[in-house]
Amino acid sequence: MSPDPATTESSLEEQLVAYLDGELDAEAVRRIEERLAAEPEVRETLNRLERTWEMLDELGATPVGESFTQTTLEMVAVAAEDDVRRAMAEVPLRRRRRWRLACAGVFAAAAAGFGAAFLALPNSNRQLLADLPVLENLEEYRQVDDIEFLRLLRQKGLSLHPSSEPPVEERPSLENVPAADLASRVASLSPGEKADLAQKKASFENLNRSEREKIQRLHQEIRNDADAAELRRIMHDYYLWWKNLSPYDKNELSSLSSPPARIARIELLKQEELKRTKNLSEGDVAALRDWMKQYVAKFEDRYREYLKTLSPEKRKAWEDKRPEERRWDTLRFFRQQWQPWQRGGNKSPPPEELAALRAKLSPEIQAMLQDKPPLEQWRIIQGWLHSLPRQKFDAPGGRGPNSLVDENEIAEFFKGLPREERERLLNLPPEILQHELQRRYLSRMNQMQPFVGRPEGPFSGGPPGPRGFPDWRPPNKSK
Amino acid sequence: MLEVRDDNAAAFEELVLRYQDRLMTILRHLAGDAGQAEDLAQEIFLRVYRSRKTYEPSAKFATWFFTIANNVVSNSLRSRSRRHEHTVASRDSGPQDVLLAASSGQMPARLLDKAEMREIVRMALESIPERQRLAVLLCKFEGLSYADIAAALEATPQAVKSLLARARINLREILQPYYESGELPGKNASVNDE
Repeated sequence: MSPDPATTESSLEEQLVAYLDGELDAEAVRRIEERLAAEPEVRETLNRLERTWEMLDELGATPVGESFTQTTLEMVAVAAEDDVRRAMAEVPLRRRRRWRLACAGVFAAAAAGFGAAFLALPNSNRQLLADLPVLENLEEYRQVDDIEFLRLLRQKGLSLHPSSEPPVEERPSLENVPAADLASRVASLSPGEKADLAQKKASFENLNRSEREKIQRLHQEIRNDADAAELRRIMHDYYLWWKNLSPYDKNELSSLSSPPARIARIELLKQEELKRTKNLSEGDVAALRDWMKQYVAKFEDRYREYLKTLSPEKRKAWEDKRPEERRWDTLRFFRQQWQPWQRGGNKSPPPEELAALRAKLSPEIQAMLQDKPPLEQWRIIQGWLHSLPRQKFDAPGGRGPNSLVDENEIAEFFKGLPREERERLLNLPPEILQHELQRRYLSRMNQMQPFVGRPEGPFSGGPPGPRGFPDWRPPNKSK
Repeated sequence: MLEVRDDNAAAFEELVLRYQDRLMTILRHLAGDAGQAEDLAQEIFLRVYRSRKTYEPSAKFATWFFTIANNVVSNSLRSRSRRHEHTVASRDSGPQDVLLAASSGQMPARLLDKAEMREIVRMALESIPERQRLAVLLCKFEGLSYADIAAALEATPQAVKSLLARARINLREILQPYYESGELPGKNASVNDE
């Protein structure tokens, strides 16, 4: 076929480049291939263009410097904090000063915008106080999405409460609290808490109208439910568990709209979690436990720095605790810090600490971890630290594999119990004694609430005994 | 990105880890030196963070991301041009440096060829206009379609087609003498502007 006379040289090269890039339609491809077959010069031009393109492969990738990721994330963290400060400072400075002067005798000194008398607040802060009950649990509402989901979670009795997390204390409801008292409550928040609240406010306002209404509706439905307190506790447990999932698993869960489908997925994830911990040997668990202890001891100064930001009463309360209780508090602090992203920068354990831990694990576990990116390795290790203390109680018969609980500490804990309590425990069969003692120890350390739907152990006088021992009954003490 | 949009910080960290090297590869050839490229990369990630609420799931993330990158780079280059800054490329070595190392016996022959080739290709790429360069980098290293490149550069697909054709013609003219006869590219190689 003769060349198209209308095709200029540059137009031909344009077509050849697009041909190489796969950007021509079928008809254009046909025309070009006809020319390639018929005209050696066109073939030569194509080869040269292709050769030049291939030479670009010599450039290779340019990886970033070692500190790039860290400094980038820190830079964005600073930007995020600036955004929050700007949100808080949206009230004009002059007005803030007038409010402080006017209200000095009424409220404690507070950050800009929140400490003033309610009537003097601009609309945005008034709206903040109106939305406060929703804002306090905003992230939880967003993940739960539907009260039916919570009810199904309760019905299934899925234990999602992370035993190493602080207890879910029932907070006084903010409903029907006078606005001035709400303002006072906000005014008494620490600067960090105020910044968190401002960020939640910004997040809520950035939602579209239907999303905001959905969350407010969920809040109302839970509030009006007869089991509101329990549903809120289940919601909180779910959120804490969800936070520790990988982005992939979170995405999978988010894509499931029906509560039964989400529950099924959660059950699957729990089984996978259990399987992972079952692979750990006694040596692995001991290594995890020892590493935790050493880490907490080594970096306790960081926790003491954090304590300085708390009230004197809270600091004293911590100082008055027993050593193992202080250790658990410090561990909970680090667990919060170990979230991949925390205000002030990434505070996950340094790479050398993780490398030291990996070196102490069994060869099988090391092999399992070694091909994974560092972030994923740490996520898995966090999962073990998160689930092991409770996993023993989840397993049938309470005879689950290993726990992170130190047997020596349990022995000390036992010695510290009242005499009557010790005698009751000693009357139990050995395996149930062990189980019950560990449960009480963890309850004491974490101030755990009773398991979902199950009463206290064998001493409550209620239905069948410790979780996993359905056939056991307390000895008949009647005479 | 949807999780980043919803203020999930862990997702943002994962995004940075996933894209930082890819972005750096492109910026290194736009900015002139590694230091400026890293500065630009950080500026881009900051812009992504600040713009997270504007992300629509219907948009391909890579296209959205490189649109931001293009804006940041364009603004930076415009500012530098206004300030009449001249980039002094801090290269590890230029073609002449590589040849010098070879003649002193410091570099094995096979490495010389690779290093020389890499340096020459880099020099050729950096000698074509920035817009052509960015189009080439997005096409070559990110595998973006003409439509996606057009979105990122705020141009039409036909304009991108012409841009890429001119870029490849320019590169061919610079590199052809080298790969045909080992002749180093001349300093005065003419380049078709856009």
